[in-house]
Amino acid sequence: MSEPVLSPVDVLAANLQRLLQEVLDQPLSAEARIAASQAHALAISLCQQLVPQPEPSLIDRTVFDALLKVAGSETAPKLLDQVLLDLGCVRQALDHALPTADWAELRLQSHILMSIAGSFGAMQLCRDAEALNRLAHAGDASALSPLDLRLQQGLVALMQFLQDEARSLPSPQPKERPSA
Amino acid sequence: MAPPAKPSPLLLIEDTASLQLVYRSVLETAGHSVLCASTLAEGRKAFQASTPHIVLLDLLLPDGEGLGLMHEMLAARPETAIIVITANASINKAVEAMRGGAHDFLVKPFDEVRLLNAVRNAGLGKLPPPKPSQTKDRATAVQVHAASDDNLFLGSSQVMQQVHQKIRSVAPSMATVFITGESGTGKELCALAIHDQSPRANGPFIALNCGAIPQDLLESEVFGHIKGSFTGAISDKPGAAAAADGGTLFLDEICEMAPALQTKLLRFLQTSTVQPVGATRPRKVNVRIVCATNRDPMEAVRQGDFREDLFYRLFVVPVHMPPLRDRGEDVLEIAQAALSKFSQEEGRQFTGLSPEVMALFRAYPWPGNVRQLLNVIRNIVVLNSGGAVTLHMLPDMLRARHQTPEAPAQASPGLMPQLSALIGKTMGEIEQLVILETIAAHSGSVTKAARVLDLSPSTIYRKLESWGRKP
Repeated sequence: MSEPVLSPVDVLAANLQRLLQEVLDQPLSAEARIAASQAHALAISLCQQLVPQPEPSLIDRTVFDALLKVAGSETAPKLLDQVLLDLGCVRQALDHALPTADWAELRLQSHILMSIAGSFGAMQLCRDAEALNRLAHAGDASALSPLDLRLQQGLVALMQFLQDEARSLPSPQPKERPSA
Repeated sequence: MAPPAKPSPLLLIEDTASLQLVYRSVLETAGHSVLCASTLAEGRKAFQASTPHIVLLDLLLPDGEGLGLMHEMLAARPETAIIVITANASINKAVEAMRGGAHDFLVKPFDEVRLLNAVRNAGLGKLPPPKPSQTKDRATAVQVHAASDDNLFLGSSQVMQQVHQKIRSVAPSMATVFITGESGTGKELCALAIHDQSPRANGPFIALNCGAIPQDLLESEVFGHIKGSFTGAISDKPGAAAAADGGTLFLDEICEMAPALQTKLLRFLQTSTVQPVGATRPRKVNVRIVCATNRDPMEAVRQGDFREDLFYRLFVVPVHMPPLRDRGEDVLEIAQAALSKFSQEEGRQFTGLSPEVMALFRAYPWPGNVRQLLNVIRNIVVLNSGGAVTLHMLPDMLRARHQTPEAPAQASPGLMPQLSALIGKTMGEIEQLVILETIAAHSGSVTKAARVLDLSPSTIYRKLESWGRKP
């Protein structure tokens, strides 16, 4: 696939996002942090709207593996079980809220979904959840249907991936009991 | 990221169980101990039961919004650093939280690095470096530190090694430092060294001379004012306390502060909030206080010039800057360094001090301390072209000293400054000088010195302690 042609605004937004992320990692005054955070959030939104996204892959393996590594062999299975439970709840709630355009519920569930998906490296699903969250805040039903379909597919795929991963994890080694 | 030396208790309030587990894993792997709560009620209970220094608070919780809890926590313990967590679409809530006193905010989803950086910054109590240009046009008594030509905080003598050691120990903490010492001993340089070695080094260092500002302007200088709050307030002014946000506020000549302002300073120290003159709402700031005086602070308390409760609030880590006459060979070390520095600045070619000048420098009592020495060296460099510094290059006052016969034996020759040298010193400084010289004249015997001075030995011991001296 050929590289997408980026406009100056695309480049500016992408670079602003990167730059502001680095700025936010530094100690800042309260006023500076507020300004940088607002600008960062806007840059992210702008990037999502303007910059052509690469072909969506289900999950960023680097992010996911790093997360399991941080969790450690003991916590990782528990973490996968828990995220599957949480995603199951989100899926169930979305199933009820999407057909009726229950904006309050959609705001809540998309908030949870984008947080989980982003944390686990499911970036396309995260972006879709963010888009849903924006629609829910705006009460805009016009773009809901196509997004709904892609989001549901992404959610199911992520849950399948996580189930497979959970099965492939080695059983945690039982702790050695102290000798008497 | 290296784990902190002492993991501080940290409260995480997040309702989504998997995210709670993710954040907790990241934080624990980095060496933090983490308490978890899933609702406002649980979070409130955990906050009351423990004393977390840092709270990670999701703003969207099942039993309500986190902002209310944040206000409760800050009211109970203003020193708590609260990091709010929110989603991109709720950025306005996060901004509202920041304006309400939150330390930082994280927009979901965030990665491990961002989370740990936020916690690290909160743990350092480190926020803001306002640009020096914002405050450089302030009144002359309020100064943002810039590279100074007097930045010669040197000295290898034992007393100075102890000072440097104390600075190294206290700098990384948030503890308030109270610097005592005669005029010209380098109290501001000491404060600056503390700032420079602290985690706030990138933040501002704001020096405020409490004795150099008219009392009726002092409140505005320290806490700022709002445009129109009084005649002459033609624009908003942030004040030294707000300008020092994220850095260090150095209050020099603290004992000269008016009693009414001492009350406000005490309030500021207790709440970490400032309320500019004319403002309706206080603002939270993150400032480390270092203060200094050339008086005996306990004596100032006894005389009713300085509030006792403020004294105990500020007198956390005392550092005493010794007079130059007690610093042995430091006088030559500083003189050589200053000669080299000033020569370079003035385009001169000085090679060093002649043996006669070194001998005079060692013997001279330096009543104006390091500041006087630096002025002498500057004078020499400006008025001469170079070579070794000889006696004839010295200012008249020092040359006269060299040519004057030694004082009578009973006045502790070579140590006791001439009476004229005491002019310009405070009674507190003169008292200290007289007591120390009397003890020295009696081979270190406090009892004998007390008898001569008609004081009780306990009074002298107490004064020695307040000056950071050991009998």
